[in-house]
Amino acid sequence: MDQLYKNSEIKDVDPRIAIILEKMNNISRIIGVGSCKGGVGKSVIAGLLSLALRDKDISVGLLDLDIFGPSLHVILGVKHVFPKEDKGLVPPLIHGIKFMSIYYFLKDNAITLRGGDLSNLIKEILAITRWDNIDYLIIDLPPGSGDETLDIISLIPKIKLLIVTTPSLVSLEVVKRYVKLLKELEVNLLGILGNMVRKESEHTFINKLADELGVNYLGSLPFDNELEQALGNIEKLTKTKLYSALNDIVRRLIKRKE
Amino acid sequence: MHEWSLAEAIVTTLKKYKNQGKIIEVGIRIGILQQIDLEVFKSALQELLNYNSFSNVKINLEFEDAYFECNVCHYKWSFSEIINKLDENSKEMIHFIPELVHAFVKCPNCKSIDYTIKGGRGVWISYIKIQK
Repeated sequence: MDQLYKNSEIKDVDPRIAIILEKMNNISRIIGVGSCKGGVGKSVIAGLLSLALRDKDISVGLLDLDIFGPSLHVILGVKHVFPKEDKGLVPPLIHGIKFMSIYYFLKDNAITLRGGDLSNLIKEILAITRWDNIDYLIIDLPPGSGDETLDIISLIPKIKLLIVTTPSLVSLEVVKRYVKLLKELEVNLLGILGNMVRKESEHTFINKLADELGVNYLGSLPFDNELEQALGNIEKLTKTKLYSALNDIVRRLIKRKE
Repeated sequence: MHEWSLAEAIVTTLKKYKNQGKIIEVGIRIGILQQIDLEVFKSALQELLNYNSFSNVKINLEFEDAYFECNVCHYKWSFSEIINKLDENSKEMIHFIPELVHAFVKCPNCKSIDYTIKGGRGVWISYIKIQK
């Protein structure tokens, strides 16, 4: 009886939670690239952001968590590679970036998942991927504030979100709601980044919105007609005016130690 | 050696509870959907337990068949019923990430891909006994 009184039993523990936290703590900075809606260029920016960091001799990992629409492998021109099994899964080094994606496993297969299964899939990827000691992990989040985004926010408390928007009134309207939600969830916000900006007035408008929302305005990236032709080709991608503009912003962020 | 990371997750969790007392027994439930190599897993787990001063902790392994329920016709089936119909590549992908079963298996009754994994997906800690 005495022995029973002194013992305690903890039931039903998901072992992945502790290992995810430990693995993420080994990474200096984690940036989630998110947007309130699709089609704003979030994945291209996540890819180019990783390349810009790599070009500054910073070790970087890139994780495509857009489970239903992974596209970073297309942007980076990734083919015929698979993670290596070594005490977990080691992401292949793609153009100097440790790149992990559901694409490796799915290839052209489509997948549909509901809440619980989707959460488990995300936890599994985070638990088994071996990033080791990298300076930055860039996570391409799915658009919106669904299960995947909420999972990532709760599993990686140190994540900072970079919110991408276009100057479209539709996108800007949804950004307001997105920022409000993220603030209620007490998520660290890196700032708002304008994309596909064609005029100075659009740049000013996004800047003003960021000020109103009390979020850092990181700058604006131009609409780049030549981007489509550069997709899948790193040499061409890093010569686009989009990359050049993003590179300037990344330089500023590094200076600010973000 | 993907099993290593699963064993590592167990031991990392135990480390979290170390300050609550002496861990004397751990129950680990292994869902068969993940198709782990049991010998590799046990060997990795023992190595990590020894390294982290948990060598005297009793490990109790239990196994659970994976089962599914269709969200369209509500048919229920188990992984052991269909595993032999899967090719090696599909089985390997499911081994890495059990939820990828959704890409390779349809409801045997109505052929829908909209179903839920109801149990037996992977490695889980069912209990940790701590002596205060």
